Amino acid sequence: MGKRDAQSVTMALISLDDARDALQSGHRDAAIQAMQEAHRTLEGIGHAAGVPVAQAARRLGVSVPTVRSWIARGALRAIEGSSPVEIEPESLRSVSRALDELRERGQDREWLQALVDYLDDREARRSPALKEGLEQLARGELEPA
Amino acid sequence: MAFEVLRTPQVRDAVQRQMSRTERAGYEAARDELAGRGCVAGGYKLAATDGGDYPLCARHLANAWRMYTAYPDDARVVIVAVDQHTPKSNPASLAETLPGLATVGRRRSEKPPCCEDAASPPPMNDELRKRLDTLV
Repeated sequence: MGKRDAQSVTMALISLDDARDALQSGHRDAAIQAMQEAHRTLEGIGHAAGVPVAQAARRLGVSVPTVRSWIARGALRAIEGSSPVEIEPESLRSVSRALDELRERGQDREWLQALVDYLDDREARRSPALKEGLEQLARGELEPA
Repeated sequence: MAFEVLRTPQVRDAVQRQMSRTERAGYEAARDELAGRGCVAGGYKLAATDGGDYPLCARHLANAWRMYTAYPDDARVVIVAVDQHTPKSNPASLAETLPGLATVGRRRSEKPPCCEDAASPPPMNDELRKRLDTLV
């Protein structure tokens, strides 16, 4: 890391300290502002860098093989040509948000299974074939099977 | 008790034009089972967005084919659609990433059955009727 990048990290850490202090004193808006400042500062560093698979696994709370499987299936987006493989930050964030939401909903069910069921049925409901069939059903276009 | 099994043109076209001979045989076996057992042969209930039950059932057929059924009353079964369920790749948004996860670790036995009793099919409730009304 170059000197300029190191300085940016230092500035971001200061902003995060500000955010923590603001939260502790109940100033939520100021905390958000400080976090955004930290984010902007860090965005200028190595913007093309992705997230290593192991770090992504920790962030998502799943195993490394699971992350690799999701990359292979297209659920997580790897940075093209990265070696070792790195994941695009926005892709990681979007999947992370979905997992958080579904873990909250999961409650008494094992969360990954809840996720799989939810996604599977969601895809089915969006099927163009099903939409076409429902439209025909609504028009009463039925015949003996 | 025998059930009257109906289908939409979407089903007819997909069966005739897209299914292989083996796949068609699987569809016909499922259809015959619906005629004999009603919703008990319907597979499982789809989940609704809010986590509740969607008023349609889905049954897996040969290969990636799935069959979706509705139950207008306790004597009739409508095969609403058949479709191939395939994961997509190269997602550009979260919505598009979702199918990519859909084949991970399925334990189908945990899906709620379409119905427990052939005499009590899942109702084409107000939600589905409302959806159908908006389509025409």
